[in-house]
Amino acid sequence: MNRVNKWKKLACLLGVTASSLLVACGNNDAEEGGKEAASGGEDSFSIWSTWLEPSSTVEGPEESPFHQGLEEETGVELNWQFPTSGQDWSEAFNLMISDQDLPDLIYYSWMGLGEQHIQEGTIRDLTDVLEEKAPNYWQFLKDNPDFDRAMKTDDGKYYMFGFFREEPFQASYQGPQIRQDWLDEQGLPTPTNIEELTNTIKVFNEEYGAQLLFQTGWRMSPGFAGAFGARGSFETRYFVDESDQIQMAQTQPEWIEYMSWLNELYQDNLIDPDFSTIDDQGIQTKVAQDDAGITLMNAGSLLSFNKDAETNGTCAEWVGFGYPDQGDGSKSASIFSENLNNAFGIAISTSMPEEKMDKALEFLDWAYTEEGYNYWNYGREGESWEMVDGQPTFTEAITEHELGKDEAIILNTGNWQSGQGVQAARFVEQRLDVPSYEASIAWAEDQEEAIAAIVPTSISMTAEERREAANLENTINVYVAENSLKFVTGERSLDEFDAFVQELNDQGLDRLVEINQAAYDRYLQR
Amino acid sequence: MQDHIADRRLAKPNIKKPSFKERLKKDFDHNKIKYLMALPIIIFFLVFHYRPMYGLLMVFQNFSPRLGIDGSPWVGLYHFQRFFNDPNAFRIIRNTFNISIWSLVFGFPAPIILALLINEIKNKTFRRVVQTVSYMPYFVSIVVVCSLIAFFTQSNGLIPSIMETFGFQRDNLLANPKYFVPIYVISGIWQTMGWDSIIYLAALSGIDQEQYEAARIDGANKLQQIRRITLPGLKPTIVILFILRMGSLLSVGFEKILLLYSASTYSVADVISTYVYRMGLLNADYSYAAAIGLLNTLVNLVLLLVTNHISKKVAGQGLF
Repeated sequence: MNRVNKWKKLACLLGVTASSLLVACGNNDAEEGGKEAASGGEDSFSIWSTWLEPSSTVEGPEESPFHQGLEEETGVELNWQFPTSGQDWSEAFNLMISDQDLPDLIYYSWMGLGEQHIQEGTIRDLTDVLEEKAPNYWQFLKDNPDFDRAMKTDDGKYYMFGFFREEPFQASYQGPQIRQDWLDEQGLPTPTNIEELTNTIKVFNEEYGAQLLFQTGWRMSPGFAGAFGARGSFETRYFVDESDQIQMAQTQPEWIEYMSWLNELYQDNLIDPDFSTIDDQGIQTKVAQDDAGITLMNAGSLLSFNKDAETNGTCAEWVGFGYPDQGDGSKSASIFSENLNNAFGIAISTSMPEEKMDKALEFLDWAYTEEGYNYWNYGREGESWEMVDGQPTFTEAITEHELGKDEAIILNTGNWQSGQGVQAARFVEQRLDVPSYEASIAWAEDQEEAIAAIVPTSISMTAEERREAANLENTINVYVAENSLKFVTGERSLDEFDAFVQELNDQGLDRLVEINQAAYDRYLQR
Repeated sequence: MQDHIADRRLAKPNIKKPSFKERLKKDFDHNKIKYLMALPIIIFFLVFHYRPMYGLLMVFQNFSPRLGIDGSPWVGLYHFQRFFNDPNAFRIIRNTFNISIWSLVFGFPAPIILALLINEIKNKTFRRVVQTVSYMPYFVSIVVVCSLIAFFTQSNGLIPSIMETFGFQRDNLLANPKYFVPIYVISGIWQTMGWDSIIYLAALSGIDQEQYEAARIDGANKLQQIRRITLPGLKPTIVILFILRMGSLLSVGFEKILLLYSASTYSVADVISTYVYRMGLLNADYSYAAAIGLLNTLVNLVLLLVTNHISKKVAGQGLF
């Protein structure tokens, strides 16, 4: 009897397990069926996207005013798919494309990958259809030759609908920051060159015990290098010189002058001793403890610095300030800035049925019309924005939203960080808080020459070149990072600069620059 | 013995040894239920452990996720050559061995000593408190542990302040290559010692108490008891854990190093796993990452087999 019971129990258990498996399979079927039905509709597209996730305050795209409005305005139905939150995007992307059945539209950082993915059959070559089927985008590219060049492969193939910015300040979101209240207390002007900056650092140290605080990573790239005519700090950085040649910032004599300035500050105990290991969080802590009066961070942190100060009851007032000029009055040789075009964009996958192509191109083209531009940047006219003195201006529905302005913008508009079409300067101006906006302007205004020296991200290497470069870069990046620190701390004598450059060449720097140069030359010839 | 077998062979010269198939069938008939019970496990291993090994083929390819294993171009041993041609290859291998050997030398005996000490505590409440407190850190996320370490070791942190009172120069310890390995090893011991000691405590409770009684009657003191009874009783556990530890010698914890290292300590802290992370995952160069990973695993396997062999020779016991 007992034995039979046992068997019954076991059978029950197995049955439950099996049926749950079946149910799971059934679910999959249903989902796939749903997907097919969805992509069956003429005006319905599946879209996989890294950006454009709806605000976390709503359940999903179905409840997000922006996503709903987009469908209504363009007359298409969109089935959004996003990488699981927290998942690495490149990992999620590679997993997604390993499936034979792709989403119709893919929003990803395609820059530099276009050629490879056209050849491997992931995405469509749009060269022949753009002019006819996406006239607004085509016209936009023709009006902006730099953008046009960035959106092509080396062979002149178009593969994505990109995202662009209007003004340099939109692409320059980190740089030098200073305690305005301390400057005022000491009656000092905002430092405009290295002499004044050095003096300010010294005064801050004497009066408040503060030190110069920075990280050695990208936040400090290029840092104050421009004031010496140099183009990089601790992180390997390349630039384009006057004769269109790619050069490494760290092999230039100006760079070692810059290192020697940092070395002097370090010897005089004017640089925070934790600089080589500190991260954003650490900087914020030190700033809150009044340990720093000058630092280099992103624009957004100004707001949090000032908020912290308010909470702590100190009177700290952080503002951004422009990159110091070179001694002879000429502008800083380098600033931090991204390209005006973004690496992200929407490509059409090879799974998109031919008969739906026209509609898809029409939908993607819409973002580059005036109507689409306004919708992506400001949302619906009359609801979230209206024209005031000929300028699109957010209404109270945004500025006085119960969840706050930022949340309202995420709910109603599409171009917060990376969207589609063109991010309006006017939008960013209204979105940013005052200190961030003023800082971005201070960092990027009138810096055309420094910006021109930045190597465009849209240059592309072949897969073979990329592999070779990756090995060389790994060695050289580690070497530069280690040795630049040694120069600053004095562990390595500054006189050894020539030996340092020689060692870099021995490690294959020539070849690495050659690969980059070849890619850049191909870019220029597009 | 030899003769006995020989006799049997002589006695039944014509009976063929049953083939593997026949033996399997016979065994299956006898143990149907056991086979049925083992089936899910076997399927599990086949599906999740053996089938994915097919993906290892990518080490001989320039793998592209879109083309898959079937479509990616073959490149032979190219990725292995790439690794050994890298000027930093020697350094990262040396660092990996360096960090894991120091962790082994200090980290392996620590839980044994802790278990011996806890075992000697007679007050039950105190004993439980010590045990709980010592294994608590194991449950703290590595990210939190690393930010604690960074906080305590930065120039105005707790530890440099203490060191200053002993006449050391106040310094950012994490930025100093001299201190990186000690910080790594000590924090590792702090975090895992209590947890690892649990298994030894379990083994200790299995030792026959009468042996201690007998030893005490013979006049053995505490140390002699530990040396003659406790340690020999722990030996099987120690040997097995040691062999297993050797089998993962090159797999140095990657998150922790990634969170603690910086350009100033690359020279001692850059290890195989961080290199794989930078080269393979950040650049999405999966073939290269897999090739180095495979190499790593092979070395680990060799170390495991060698240790096992030596252990069998010397201590008379091993894993298999």
